[in-house]
Amino acid sequence: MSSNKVKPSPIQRHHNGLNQFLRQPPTHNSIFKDMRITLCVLKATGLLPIYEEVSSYEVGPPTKPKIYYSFFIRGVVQTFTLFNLYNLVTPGSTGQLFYSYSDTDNVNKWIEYLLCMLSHSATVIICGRNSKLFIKILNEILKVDEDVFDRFRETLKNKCGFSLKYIVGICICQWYLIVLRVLAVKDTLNVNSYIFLFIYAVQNGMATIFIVFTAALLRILKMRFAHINTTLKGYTYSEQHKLRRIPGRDRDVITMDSFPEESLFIYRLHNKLLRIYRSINDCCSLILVAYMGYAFYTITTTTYNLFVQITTQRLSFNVLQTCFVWLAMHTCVLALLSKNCGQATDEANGTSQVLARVYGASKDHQNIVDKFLTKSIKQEVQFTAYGFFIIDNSTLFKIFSAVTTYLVILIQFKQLEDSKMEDDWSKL
Amino acid sequence: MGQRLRKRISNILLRVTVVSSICFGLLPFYYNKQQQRFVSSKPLLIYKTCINVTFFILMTFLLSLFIEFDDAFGAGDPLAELLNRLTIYISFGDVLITWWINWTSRQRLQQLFNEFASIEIDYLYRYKYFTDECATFDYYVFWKVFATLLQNLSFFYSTTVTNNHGWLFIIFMFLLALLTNIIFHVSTHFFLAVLFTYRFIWVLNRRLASMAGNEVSSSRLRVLSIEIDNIAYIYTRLIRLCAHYTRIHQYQLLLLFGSMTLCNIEVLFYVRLLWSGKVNELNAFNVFAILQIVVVNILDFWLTITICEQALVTSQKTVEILRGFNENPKYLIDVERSLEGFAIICSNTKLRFNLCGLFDINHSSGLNFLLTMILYLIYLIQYYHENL
Repeated sequence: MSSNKVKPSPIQRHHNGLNQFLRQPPTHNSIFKDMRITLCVLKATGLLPIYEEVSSYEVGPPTKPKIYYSFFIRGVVQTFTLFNLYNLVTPGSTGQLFYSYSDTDNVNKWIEYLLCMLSHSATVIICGRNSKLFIKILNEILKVDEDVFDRFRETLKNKCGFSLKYIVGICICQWYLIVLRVLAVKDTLNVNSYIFLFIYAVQNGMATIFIVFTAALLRILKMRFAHINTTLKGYTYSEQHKLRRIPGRDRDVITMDSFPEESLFIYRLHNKLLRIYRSINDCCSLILVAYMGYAFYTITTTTYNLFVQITTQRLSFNVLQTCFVWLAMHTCVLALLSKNCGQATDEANGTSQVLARVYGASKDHQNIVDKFLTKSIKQEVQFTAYGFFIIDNSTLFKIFSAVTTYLVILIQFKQLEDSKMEDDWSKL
Repeated sequence: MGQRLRKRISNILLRVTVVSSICFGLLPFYYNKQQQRFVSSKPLLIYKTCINVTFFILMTFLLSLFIEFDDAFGAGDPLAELLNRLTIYISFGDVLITWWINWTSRQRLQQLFNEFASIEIDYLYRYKYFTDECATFDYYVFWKVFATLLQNLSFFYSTTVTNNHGWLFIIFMFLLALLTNIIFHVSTHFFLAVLFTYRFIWVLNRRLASMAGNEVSSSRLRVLSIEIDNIAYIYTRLIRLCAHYTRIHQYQLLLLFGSMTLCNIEVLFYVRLLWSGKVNELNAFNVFAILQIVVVNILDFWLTITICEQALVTSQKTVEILRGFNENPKYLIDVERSLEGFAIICSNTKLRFNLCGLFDINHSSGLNFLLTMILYLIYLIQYYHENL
């Protein structure tokens, strides 16, 4: 939880507001502190615009040369994608990479490459189109931070440290996969194949890193929603009751007198956060659809490969490692995404529940609570992938049940293919 | 595109749609400018009856013709032929049911059109500038007309591609295309109804947002309450209207989606047959001839799905805008009460497009349709694996 710090009571705040201001100058905006490297990676790869930092709570639009740089990088990346596509459709140029046993497997691998390209291109194109929107989102988050700082004199934590770990993990996975792939091929590879593999890894990495970034954004939102909820909790009936029973601490008690003013601020904050939540959803939903489709396909084919490996006698450690690396990477990223989406959604929807408990605290302020509650009946927010499905903790479960179904179908396919081959042999 | 040009083109297209629907005998009424409502007319009713009878005779003729063809599309395979037949029969059934419902519910349809017109007159004429700003509306009209044209073109194109059946088959296909247009028209009606709903809600949202954002002078505060009540009233009317037209169109849409899914599975299956090396002289032209059917079908289908989703998303935004009113504490008690009433209405009656209680039309069910197509394609391929 973000703010398990003790919140200073309004009276305290009133007394030592100035002192605190002097003691604790506005720390450098924390949105950049945790995610600095993530943002750097995304800026360098042209997915995010290279914005200017105007002040500690505002970012400005990028300058002309930087816009050109982003354009240039995106163009280069897309050219390489075209190169890969060309290699994929021309038989022979990268034929050595398809080494599997049967037809179905090769087709699977082929589709996997195609989906990866699709997912990556979708990411690049949509990011390029929404670059202004991203700056707006960042600015709005910073604005919220500023408001919170002005009011409560505290800087909210982001706890986005995970993003760096994930990026390092993804990079290691990609290198490892390249090495495994190169080792797996018996004869020497031609230059085309090396370039192909490298670009494929870059595409994979970038598409995945963007998902990590989305998860980090959602984590930031979650922390802000959680802050609202803890602030409101101070006003709930049980908290008020508890405080009333402790004698001699009158000064520290959060009195209900400050509630009308505070609630106004919190409503405003909540609205702003919901707006940010929705714009993140609008920005990323198509990218998420593309990535999740790709990840789903990869997980299915990898599990299938694993199955084939285990059932056949010729166990190859190379293939086993490849399968495990793929599975681990995609599962982790999907889990991260769905967990953060779920948490942010839960916190956003939790506000009305906390507020409902304020209802009993005081009769005088019920109409203020009502104002919020009536507008939240049956109006839960959801993080959806383009309206196709809701992304929350249940998504992972759904994906894996779908993977199982398709796995069974693929296995049946294999059996059919095998029996057909046997028939052909016996005919000969 | 300039706003006025866009507006003018979309108006023309709308008018053309209405006129051609009248020609097909689907709408036995016209818009009366003096009364500002749709009025039914005797000649149109008689024309409708005549054309329906003609079409019916045509259809029985076609059906008898079709039964005599064996393996009309050159599938060369019993199951594929069965699927073909099923698709055609479902389309015929669709046409029949469309007529029947169109005939029995012609008065309800007229009420529907009049309700739209009256909402326009009651409220929206005041916000004409908002209505004109809604670019999405015009673009969707263009898209729908484009998709319908493509459907027709693709029908004729596939007729010309399948050779060697003689003039009887070509006549059959052309007449079938004519009949299929009835279904396309009905689906266009539904599409337009949803599109109009979308635009109404969009305008309401714009109006609400401008009220929430502005500092309202105290003299206007009293009027504000009345206006919000008015918007809430329009909103409930729209929701009721939406349930109404979904009920009218539900069976046709269900059959349309069904036949479209079937057709797509079948066509995709052909692609697999082609790829499997059964046909040696496969070229890009052949693949295009087959894939275009799928692409056009999915485009048309997806337009219906996506406009419903747009309307849903827009109606969800209404509540979001209502929340924005929380930020201003200085409203009168009347305004607060109206806002609360509206919020409760919004949370209790939500926009939805439910087909026969089976499923709602939105993106998630659209995805389900696509996934079902892929799944059944896989089943079919498995079933046929021996022959491939």
